[in-house]
Amino acid sequence: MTCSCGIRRIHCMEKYEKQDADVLVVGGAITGMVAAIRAKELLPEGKVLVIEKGKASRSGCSNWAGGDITLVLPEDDVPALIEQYKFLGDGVADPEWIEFALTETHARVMDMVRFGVPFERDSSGNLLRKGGRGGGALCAISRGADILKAIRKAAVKMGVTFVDKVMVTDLIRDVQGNAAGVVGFKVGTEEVQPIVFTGKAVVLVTGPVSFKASYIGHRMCTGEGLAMAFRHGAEFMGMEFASGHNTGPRHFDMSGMARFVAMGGKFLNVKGEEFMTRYDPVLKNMAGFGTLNYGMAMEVREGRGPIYFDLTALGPEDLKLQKKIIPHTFVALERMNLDISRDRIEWIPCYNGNRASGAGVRIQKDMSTTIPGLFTGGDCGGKFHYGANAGYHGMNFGWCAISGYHAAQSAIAWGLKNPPVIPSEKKIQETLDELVLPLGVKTKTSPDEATAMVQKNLIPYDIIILKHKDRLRRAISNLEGLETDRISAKDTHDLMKAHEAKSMAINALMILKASLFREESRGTHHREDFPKRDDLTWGQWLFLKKKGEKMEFWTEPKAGIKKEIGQI
Amino acid sequence: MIEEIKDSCTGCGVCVSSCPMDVIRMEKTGKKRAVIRYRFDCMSCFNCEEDCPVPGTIYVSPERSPWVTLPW
Repeated sequence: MTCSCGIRRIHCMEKYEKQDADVLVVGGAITGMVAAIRAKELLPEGKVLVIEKGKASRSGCSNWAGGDITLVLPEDDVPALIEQYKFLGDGVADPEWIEFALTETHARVMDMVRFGVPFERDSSGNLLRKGGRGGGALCAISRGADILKAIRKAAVKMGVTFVDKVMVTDLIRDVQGNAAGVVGFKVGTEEVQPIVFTGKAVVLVTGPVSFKASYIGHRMCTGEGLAMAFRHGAEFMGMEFASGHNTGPRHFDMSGMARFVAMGGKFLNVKGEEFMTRYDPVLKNMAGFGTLNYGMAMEVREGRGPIYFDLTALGPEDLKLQKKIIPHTFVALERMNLDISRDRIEWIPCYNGNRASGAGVRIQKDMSTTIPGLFTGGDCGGKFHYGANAGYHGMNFGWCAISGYHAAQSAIAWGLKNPPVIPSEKKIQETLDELVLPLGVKTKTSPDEATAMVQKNLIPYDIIILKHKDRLRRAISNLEGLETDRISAKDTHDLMKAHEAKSMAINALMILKASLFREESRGTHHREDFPKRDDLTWGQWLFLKKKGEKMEFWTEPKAGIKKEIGQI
Repeated sequence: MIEEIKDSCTGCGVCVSSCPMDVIRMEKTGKKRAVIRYRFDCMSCFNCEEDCPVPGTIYVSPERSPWVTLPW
């Protein structure tokens, strides 16, 4: 693979695999598979590809989630629910988007019933609905893994083609700048095997960036889609709200906290106090993630840590339901020799990046981005309906299905009107050269070292939960010192991890810089140097995009009015 | 992290396919079987153990990889 120029370059390889499709869907979890099914419904004779870094239906963070999906029925009080989510969004949640995200859940859940998703039902056979942490709408109940398996099965039956184990590293754009395809390479092979995918429309739904942090089933979510969109100049929204955390055990990973809390789980400090009454006297242990993590961090800072999760009050029926929905959690507890009817579990915030938050690529209701021909959704897209908080019980599953459905429809409509021109071979080769670049780098920064540097400058609670300008600036400076073009890879596994580290570094900088500019506290964004909510200046979204080697930030006080905030 | 793939492995490759982290690969030489290649990248998601058609072949410990940065 060594060229006469001395650099490993892809053009020295004799060929790469090519695949063409009508619709390319990048990402094989709920959003991507729902998008693929909708695309196939609209184009029964068309070729629809789902490209996934792992195995579609066994990857993406929803595979390990409890599987609660917001289900708003026609008889529900939608205006009252909109007011609840406006409140939860802490002043910046858009009521039109909330209505969109709530009212369409019924149709998308009915789609899932049609796909064969096994939902819990009551004695009359109706879908069982339950509430959870943080209030909000009731949810239909299934198991994340079962939802994904059923949707994949339905997609295969409809003729969707799955390309598993391919890591996509970049977008290809045609001469007009329209998204025209993606490039990637096979994961799990001994030699690098690049693939070039071209298509009339691209749906980029690679999920959130979770920074390989401490929560079950999230460490494959490293934000490649977000990073690609950023590098190509897409606008982003609310990246400072990518401060949400789930919570979990200190020494191992498990899911199910949201429903455990609804069943009577309590957060205790080292003194045995139910400390959440200090931070949210109304919702207490059922407070939203922003307040819960703030409360946990403050208890630790003030010397009342560690924090424990106490599940000793759970009843047998609740435990039976949980064992059915999240069996791996109970396997984990057993293997850690923990009996939750007796033992409290040491508990910490588990950073989830932009998962289930408003932060992401800026989208319109048709799921279009500011890059022509590129559509997104799920956790890759931003969410005006979330506002400044994160992790509303059940809403993300519903939104994944809604946004996937609309992304496919819009992508097909766009592709029919604007068929992309296949990019030149030279352009493709340049993109492939970037793909293999880490294999030719002979420097000291390994992917593991780069990942550790990103984590250490983002995840500590006094950086991302309790923010302060001095610590944010220091973290930005440290990460800008990470030369991502000089991350080296020694084999194909390392090549995957090198691209993951690059993606995480870009995403971390977006989050830290946006956090620095929003000089107030709101939702999951707590600034110790600006502790109050400032509606006059900051009761609006903060947008960003790449500008040369910097990022530019602005707000839009009114439609069509852009107010520059700064560059960094 | 994943701790063991026992000799009862039939080499069907299901665990290799379902691992989201490319931790498991097929043995390059000798008996066709799955091997743990990149253990420290395992996220204890249990996919491999759940999907293995021969129960008891794979054992995953829930304990987290030591390199993950925690909030405190």
